[in-house]
Amino acid sequence: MMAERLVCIVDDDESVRESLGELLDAAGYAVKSFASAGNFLASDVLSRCACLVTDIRMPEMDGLALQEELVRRGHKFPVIVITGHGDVPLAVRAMRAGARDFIEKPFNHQHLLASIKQALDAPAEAPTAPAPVVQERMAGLTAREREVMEQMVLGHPNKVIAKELDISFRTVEVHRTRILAKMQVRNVAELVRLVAAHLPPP
Amino acid sequence: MTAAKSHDLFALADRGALFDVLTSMAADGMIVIDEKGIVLFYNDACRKLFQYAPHEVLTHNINMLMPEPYRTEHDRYISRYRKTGDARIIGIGREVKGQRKDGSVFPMYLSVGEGAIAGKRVFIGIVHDLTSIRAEEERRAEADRHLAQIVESTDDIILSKSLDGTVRTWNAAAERIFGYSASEMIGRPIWIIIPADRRAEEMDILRKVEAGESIRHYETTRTCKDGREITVSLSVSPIRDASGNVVGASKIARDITDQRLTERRASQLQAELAHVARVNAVSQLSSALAHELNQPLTAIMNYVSAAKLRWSQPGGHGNNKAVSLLDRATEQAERAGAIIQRLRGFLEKREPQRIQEDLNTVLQEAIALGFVGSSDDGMMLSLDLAPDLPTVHVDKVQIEQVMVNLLRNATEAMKDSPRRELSISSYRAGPKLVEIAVADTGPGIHDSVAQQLFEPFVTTKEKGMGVGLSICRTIVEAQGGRIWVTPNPDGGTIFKIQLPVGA
Repeated sequence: MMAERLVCIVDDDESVRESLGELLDAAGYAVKSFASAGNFLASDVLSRCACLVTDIRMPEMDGLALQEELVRRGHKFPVIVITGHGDVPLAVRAMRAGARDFIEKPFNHQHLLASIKQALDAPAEAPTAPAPVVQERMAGLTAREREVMEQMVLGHPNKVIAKELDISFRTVEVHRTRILAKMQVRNVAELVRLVAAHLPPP
Repeated sequence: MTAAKSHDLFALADRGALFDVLTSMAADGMIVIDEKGIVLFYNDACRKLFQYAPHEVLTHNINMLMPEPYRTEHDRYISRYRKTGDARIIGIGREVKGQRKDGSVFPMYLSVGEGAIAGKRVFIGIVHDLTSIRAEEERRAEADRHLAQIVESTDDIILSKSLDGTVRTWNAAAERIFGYSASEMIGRPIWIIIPADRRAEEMDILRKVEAGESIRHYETTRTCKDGREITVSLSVSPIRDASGNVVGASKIARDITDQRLTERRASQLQAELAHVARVNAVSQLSSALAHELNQPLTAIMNYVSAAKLRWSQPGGHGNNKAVSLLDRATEQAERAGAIIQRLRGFLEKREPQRIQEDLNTVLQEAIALGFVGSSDDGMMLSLDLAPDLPTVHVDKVQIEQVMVNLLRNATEAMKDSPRRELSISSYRAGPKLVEIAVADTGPGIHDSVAQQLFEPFVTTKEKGMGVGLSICRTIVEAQGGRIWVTPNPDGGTIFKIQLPVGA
């Protein structure tokens, strides 16, 4: 039953928190909202929580720290982080720490709902693709593409990658398109999710 | 002259004594000469006038007491009179020159009478020294000349007019600046140079002057001969006659057209500089602004998506809910709109505009802008705004700009501080003054830097240009206020801005 699938929201911004609650409610989920990580951790819903959607940038305890605390306490429900402008590196860190997905604000509701659905449906720690498949796709990359990809999964924007590798912005764009195609993903979030386990730790 | 014509009560025997007293005590010189000009009598007063002792003059020709050319001519004067009876001085008197023993010449008034003693014709001269009177007159004339030269040489317009506005005097500066010569203007009405829309004002000034009032540094416009309008600063004072009645007005005016133009240009430049600084401030805020806008945009998308899902519920059960969700989306759109509007107002390029503003409202707006996007960085903000503050006469956007600058500085200063408290207060600092204080708990500012903090290109920041605070100072001073920095007794720094209460 849908009603059993409790989605929890942690966001310090009232308008985002409430609107997200309404969206998930309309989509048929049971929803509990919290204004801070502390409130969420102190609540009695943790054991029932099927999926957590959390803002990454918050005062006191941020989304990343919350995620670490949940892991420390042994909670294994999927975590989706939502990020604001320019927070991609932070989101990538969250992905590497085990977050299911990150979604940039303002987000398309279909993307978010799909992400939640996928998180709820998929077994908690199932890889997105079998390791040999990932290895095979990565092997198809050129050396330069691999360098660019490593930068991409650190959350670096094209501008920074161009500077870092001393190539033109345009070249980075071309590499980026090719990498996404070769790795068969639609965006950086999917890419991070796919390859995080196959790259050396940053 | 005969004794019969005298009117007195003296006995005949005393007449000799009377003559002695009159001639010796008289302050005026008395001289008697015969037909040939030989001196027969020379009183004591003459001694003081001419420096000659009586024995040096008696029996000598009177012409020794005159400078040339009279000295040479005098004998001829006498003989001409004797022949023609044509009196030039006798019985009349006039101003002539005398010459002292030391050769110096002095002005004197000489009246000459004619008579006969023992059948012989004599002339009696009475001499009054005019030296001091002439000296006084000369001094006055000199003073008048000085004054006239000052009036003519000054760059200020100086003119006078009667109470009906008829021009009486018109100096060289007035000629040069207005283009009308003195001869064109004197006797003509002052209205010639007064623009139609300033006539009532001039009438008012004339009425005040008539009542004995003076007007100082009154700014108005005047029309020149070539039709140009100029800005002048006027001082008008009453002119009184000897008995103290106001009979006219004197007017000193300075052409301040260029000065006003320069001031305006300077203020435009300042406004442009301030604008550049605002653009710069906003560009530094851009990521915070994007974040700030992202919140309502995200909320709008969520509400609209939720409404769509509700709308598609079977049987229209979700319709009411959908409408209320759309209302909430609208609220969020308004919130985003307000952010954009505030930003647009802040970034607008415009002439500086000083109007009466409620200081606390300006502060609230500035705080909304200055803390854009920093809602979740854990800084403590306390506001202590005094209610019922008098209004201030300021350019709102520029004061907001100063505040945004101070707030950003304070936030940045406290970035690594264990205690991060920002207090903003407004209060009265005197009957005509209000003050704003922005206190942070950052590391404070070293004395050596504090001294020159408001100078351009002084900065404590690694990446700063050091122009922010110098622009702040320029702005605050342009509004008649001042800005300074003082250590926070609780640790950190307090910036204070003092502004005059609006007139």
